[in-house]
Amino acid sequence: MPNKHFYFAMGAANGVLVAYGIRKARHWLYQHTQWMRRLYRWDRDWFLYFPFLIGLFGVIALTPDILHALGILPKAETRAPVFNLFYFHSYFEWLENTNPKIDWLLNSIGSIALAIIAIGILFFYIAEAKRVAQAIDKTKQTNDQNQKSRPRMNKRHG
Amino acid sequence: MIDELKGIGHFTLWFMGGFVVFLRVKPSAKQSPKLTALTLYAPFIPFVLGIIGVIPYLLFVLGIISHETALSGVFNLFLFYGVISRVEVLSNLFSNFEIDAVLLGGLYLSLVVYYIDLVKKIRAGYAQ
Repeated sequence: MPNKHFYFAMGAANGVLVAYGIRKARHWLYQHTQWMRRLYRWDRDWFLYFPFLIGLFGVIALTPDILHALGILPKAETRAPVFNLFYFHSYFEWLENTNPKIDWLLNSIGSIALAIIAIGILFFYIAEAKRVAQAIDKTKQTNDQNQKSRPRMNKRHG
Repeated sequence: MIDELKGIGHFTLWFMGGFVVFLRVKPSAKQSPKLTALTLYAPFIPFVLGIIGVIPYLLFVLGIISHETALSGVFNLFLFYGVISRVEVLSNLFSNFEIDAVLLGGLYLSLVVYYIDLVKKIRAGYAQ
């Protein structure tokens, strides 16, 4: 069967899409929803915590395996069609049984996807750090210019 | 017979090694944050070491080299791949996929926490 990391990667990839969608729609959400305003009040850098949401999606994708590991359901039942709700879990298990090479392929895809997501998140943080520093520098420059122009205005009026 | 260390084991081992290097070179918590290359890119050290350590295994899996060649002398240039593969203690420690996944997940999480802290400090430091 495909290793757990394949399913985790599927969930994480979906989590990335959800996180990206929320970031894109944040201004609209701020104007129209209460929870987004609350989120901004809680922490203006709330988006930094989104990798945890991505991880949560990955764990959700592992639900059938978690149910089996906890002894709640036998392995055969975690392959029932209803578990296709968890990123086509049952379908991928069936697919792997029909062709052993698919197992290797799915595991490789899972590994590559996880590596891309993990490194991509780190690059996101680098971009975010640079963006925050630039934004603050800009604000500082504007404040300095305002302070310089203020005494001249006072003289003129005085 | 000793079980040889697999690719994920090599990656985890050198990721941990890289994490120790990262802890040594990262700016201390008391220092004010500056956007230097080291501050920004230090968390990539574990990834770089992990990938270098696993290159012979990848070449073997892709069918470019044989198993024997991967364990031979010249491939010890990739962070002692051949030697480490045969060390029994390391093989026992890092051969379990689940344990490797938990170790990697935990270390990766601390890299994420480092970046969150860095962005927060930059905002606080610049704002003063």
